[in-house]
Amino acid sequence: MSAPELASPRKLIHSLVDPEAVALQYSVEQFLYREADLLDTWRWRDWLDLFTDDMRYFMPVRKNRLRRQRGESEFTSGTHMAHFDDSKRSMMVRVGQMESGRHWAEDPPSRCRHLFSNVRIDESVGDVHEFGVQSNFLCYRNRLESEVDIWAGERHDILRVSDEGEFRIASRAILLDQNVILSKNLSVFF
Amino acid sequence: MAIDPDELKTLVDWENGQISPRIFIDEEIYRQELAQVFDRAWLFLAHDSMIPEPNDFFSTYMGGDPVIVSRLADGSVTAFLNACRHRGMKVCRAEDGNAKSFMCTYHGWTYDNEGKLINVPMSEEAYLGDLDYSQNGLLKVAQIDSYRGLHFATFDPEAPPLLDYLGDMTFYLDSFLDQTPGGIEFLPGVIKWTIHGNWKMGAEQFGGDAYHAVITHASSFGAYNKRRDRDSNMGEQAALREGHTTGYSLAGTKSELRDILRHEDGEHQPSDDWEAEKLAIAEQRLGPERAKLRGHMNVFPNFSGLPGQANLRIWHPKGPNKFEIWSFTVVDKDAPDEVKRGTQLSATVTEGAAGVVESDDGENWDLIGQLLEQGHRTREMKWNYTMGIGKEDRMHAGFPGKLSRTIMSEGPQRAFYRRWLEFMTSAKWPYTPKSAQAAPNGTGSATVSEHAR
Repeated sequence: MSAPELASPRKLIHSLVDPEAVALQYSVEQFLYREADLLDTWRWRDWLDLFTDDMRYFMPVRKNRLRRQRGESEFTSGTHMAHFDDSKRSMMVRVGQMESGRHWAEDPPSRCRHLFSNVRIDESVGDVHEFGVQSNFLCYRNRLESEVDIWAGERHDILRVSDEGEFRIASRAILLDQNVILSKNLSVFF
Repeated sequence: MAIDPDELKTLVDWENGQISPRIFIDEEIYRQELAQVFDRAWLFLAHDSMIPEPNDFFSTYMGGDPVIVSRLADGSVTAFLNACRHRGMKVCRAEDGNAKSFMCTYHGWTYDNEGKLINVPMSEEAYLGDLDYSQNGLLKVAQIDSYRGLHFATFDPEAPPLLDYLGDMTFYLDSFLDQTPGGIEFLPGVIKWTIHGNWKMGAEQFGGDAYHAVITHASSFGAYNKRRDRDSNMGEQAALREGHTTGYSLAGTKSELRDILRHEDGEHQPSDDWEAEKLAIAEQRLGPERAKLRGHMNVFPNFSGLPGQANLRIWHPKGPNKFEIWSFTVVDKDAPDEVKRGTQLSATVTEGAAGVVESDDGENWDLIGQLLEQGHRTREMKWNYTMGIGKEDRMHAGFPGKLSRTIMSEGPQRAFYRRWLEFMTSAKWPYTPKSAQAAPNGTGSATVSEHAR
């Protein structure tokens, strides 16, 4: 009996990797990097254009719960209070405020770096032409002379492929890894 | 070491509207404040709707001290210090839930939800029968009581009853809490965030500062409330002798910003139907004026809210130059679910750390805190609280307190700091009008006329 022939790493990878999945992963990551750029360069209206008209933008309150309480969902819902629970219309109000020149919390604007990583695609999530994307983020904010905030968390997006063949964000739920928000506000977007 | 009362009086010259910001930054003053103000005053704990079921609990703070508010099997509510009697460790690290007991995770001392010590691991081997459980329960508050579903407590057994403490503020609280037979309820979820500033900045602003809204909130509230000028004589600032303060408009105008955010379809507004229905009920209960009252308020020392709107909150002190805002969203219990959902949506966009209105408050309070932290001249420069001095003379039948001529006045702030100074400098419980009325020959009656003005 001869020993089974071991595949070379290159051949093994080739047999395991689906080129279409690689292409999708690459396209999604490039989309997220462009999004980060829009946020970091204060192009909020262009950023909002990345969302569908029926978008939801949601950031629940993270609760401290014991292991035995963990059955309860982390994502508060219904009439639970959240940090963000926005439609396109209310996001337009937020973006309009950013552009007003009188939103003192962001004028002068914060210097931010949105770093997105650990991008996970789940094609079982969402409707036709939609799929789920989870990513981790680190957002560094430096403001005025010496103020610094660092926010870490996770985003659960549903991306939709538009008629033009572009990605649009149909839904975003953000899990910010803070219970008591440690900054004086959350005046930036994630 | 106590601070010289005369020095404190120099720092807080409320009569002339000159107040030193040292009271916002000085460590010694802060420690005295925890002992003289927060250890004595009635402090807001929680609303009934936050702990509806037997064994429900809510974790909060009284001043700097962690406290568990617990509903017992018989429906009553109790509160005790969330610190183990053995080494002072927190016995509960969840922010709310349902529990019949709390076990300290240091050595395992376990207390029931009345605060009684019920189990000590290896008690016999360790204490050889010498540990008296009955003397080692969690420290209870001295008094606990509620007003229209709002639970308050004090650590001071000498404090007057809650109703005396609230005094005339119940007139204004009712305009918020008693509009409909069901009253209010709190939506689940507390928005908590951190300001690097002093807690009194929040309390004095909510208590009396209608003046800041036009500029601070120019990009949100101000941008949508263009009718402000026309309304400025339709309301006033009210300063109560108990240190509670409020300011309000009686014009009945609603925030356009809130309205456009309430519901997604934009056309039919379920909240409009409810507001009309509610107004008719509220006018019966409160009269035509209070039914339309919309404003801001502070119950001394650190319980604030927006009457006629949707918000109540606590300013929890976390050091002289740090506080947490715990913000609650309030709805009419009798309102239809879609109206509650609408209120939740508009409150989420406007209030809280991420609120378009409130994010600009953080900018002010945090930066002032930085200046006081680092500066010397900035600490020594007295701040100007003179707005409306000598002009708090409006007569408004039935409306208690000293009332200002327009909706802008710093009368409330002066009344707040007057009360603060009384707490800080007096060993005895400060003069309280309702208690003095109840016992005209009791202690302190000789000074009633002096204090009552």
